[in-house]
Amino acid sequence: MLAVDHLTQIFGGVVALDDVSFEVAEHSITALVGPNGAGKTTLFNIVAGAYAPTAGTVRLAGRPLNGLPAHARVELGIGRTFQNALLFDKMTLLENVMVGRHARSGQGMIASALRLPAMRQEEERIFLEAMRCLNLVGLGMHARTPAGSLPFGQQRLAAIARALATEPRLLLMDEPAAGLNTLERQGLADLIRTIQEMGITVLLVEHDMRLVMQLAGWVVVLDHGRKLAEGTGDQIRKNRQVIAAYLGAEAGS
Amino acid sequence: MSKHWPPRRQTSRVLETLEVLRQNQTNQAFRVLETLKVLRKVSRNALAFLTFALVVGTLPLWLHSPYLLSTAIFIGIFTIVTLGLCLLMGYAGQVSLGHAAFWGIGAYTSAILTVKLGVSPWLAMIIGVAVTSGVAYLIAIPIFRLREHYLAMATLGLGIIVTLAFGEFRELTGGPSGLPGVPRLTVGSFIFDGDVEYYYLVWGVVLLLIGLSLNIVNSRVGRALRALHASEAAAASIGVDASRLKLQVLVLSAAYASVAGSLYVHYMQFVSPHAFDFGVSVRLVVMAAVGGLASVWGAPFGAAAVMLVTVLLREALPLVIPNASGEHITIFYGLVLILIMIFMPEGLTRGVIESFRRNARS
Repeated sequence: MLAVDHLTQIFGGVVALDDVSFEVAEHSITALVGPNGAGKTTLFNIVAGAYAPTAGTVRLAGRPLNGLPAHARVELGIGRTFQNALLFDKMTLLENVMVGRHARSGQGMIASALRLPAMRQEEERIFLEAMRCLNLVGLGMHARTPAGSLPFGQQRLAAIARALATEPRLLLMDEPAAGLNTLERQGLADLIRTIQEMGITVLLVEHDMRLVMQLAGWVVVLDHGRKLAEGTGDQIRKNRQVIAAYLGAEAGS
Repeated sequence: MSKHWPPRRQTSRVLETLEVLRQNQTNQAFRVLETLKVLRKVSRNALAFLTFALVVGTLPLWLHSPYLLSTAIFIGIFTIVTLGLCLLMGYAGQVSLGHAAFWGIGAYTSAILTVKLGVSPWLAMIIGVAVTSGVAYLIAIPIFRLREHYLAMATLGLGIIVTLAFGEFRELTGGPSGLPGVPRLTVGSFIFDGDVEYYYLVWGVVLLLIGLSLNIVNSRVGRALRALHASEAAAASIGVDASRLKLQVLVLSAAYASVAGSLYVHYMQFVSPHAFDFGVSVRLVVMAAVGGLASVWGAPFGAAAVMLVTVLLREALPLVIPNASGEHITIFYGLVLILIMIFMPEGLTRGVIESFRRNARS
């Protein structure tokens, strides 16, 4: 589904990613783990198109993505959520998720100004799709609440709904469980399973190893910009290098 | 013992039924409330629009001073330019310091086509919109690739170049002394020659454009613009093409300015470069800021407030400073802009509403 090939990213002398290669199998849940500063978010930003890599390529279902801006990658089916949700605070939840339909709808400024019948029909479809995504994450009842006034856990879920509204084939989730309580974590794990069952491939950055082991069929470990190891959860758990990197990092932090 | 006595079966059955009934009722009440809320939200814009149209429509009936009526026409013309600027600044997050140039291109296109070539004024107005949009499009293409606030710089440059061009191409524009003899607007045999007629024409266009703008703001495009304003990274992550949208809004605001320019020139029946210089661009930005960015309704209020204060100042300032000129008024605009940005960053309209709310609450 997604192939990351010899990816290197250098920020003014700092090597954030150093020749990283791995693949994400279709319909899988793959986890990207590693200590802070390992380059996980940088990798996400490259795949999503926010950064252009110094070297290397990213391919989605065989198609190279180099040079495509972020908004064009959404059309190809790459969705993402951010660590800090990044909802549009002053807009309602419904409006937030309705913007998620942007790439899958096309009525422009003139049609909107004149409220042409085609535009009104599309608005209706956008509304229904957005409500469907909101209900999926269990926030249908908060549709008319301004996003900024919701608790953080729910903002996270709304951000997932917004990403799902783009009809992604691959969903990148950046630390979806950070800051959630145990109950919310279980709900999130169920939601991610549901997303996988919808036929969406999930690539997930996560620090909560219990969640990673519970969900991910394949785990890729990054450390200091390099790929340290990859394998099934069990293989990773037993990998000495990984244990050393993690214990070292935790002893240091 | 006490748990089983008195026997509570019967009562609990009744209580259960009551509880179910109560829940159903609350559900129904809740549903009614929700519908009302939705209705209120949908019709709030419509209601505001009708009220506004009513006020605008009846104004000439009790506004007997020809001077004030003429001021009201100018307010209408400025409202149209400000409307585009509010969309650009408030929704696309870009500042244009040369909006008077777009206004001027519309005005001069209308003037030149009607005076020199005898083109129908309405056709000239449409050509003006096309020309102005084209200019906006051409200068915006390289700018929005670069992001940031390059648009402010580029439009500033455009404003200066355009004003110079109006003064220099004498054969076409009449040079610094201007181009007289612009015809009145007509529909069939009806001529918009009186101020009352022109007032209704201008404010009719204002209402039309406010309606169109409200539709745009409450649509897929408007939502995307608001999203862009909140977080460009998040908007891009769900497929919003920032540069394309910003470009569209700039072209739209230039088209509005062009319409205002045509209406201006057919009212004045004369055009000169002075009316579109840098000071005017600044005044337009002040109008948009006073009215409230990211608010379609801010435009008429901003334009009216700044115009009325200008009128007052023109009367009052010479009493305080004997040799007061237009430049003193420009200083005043600067002051107003600074004060508004400090104390009411969301504009006068929003600022006043908020302070009323705060007072009502406390």
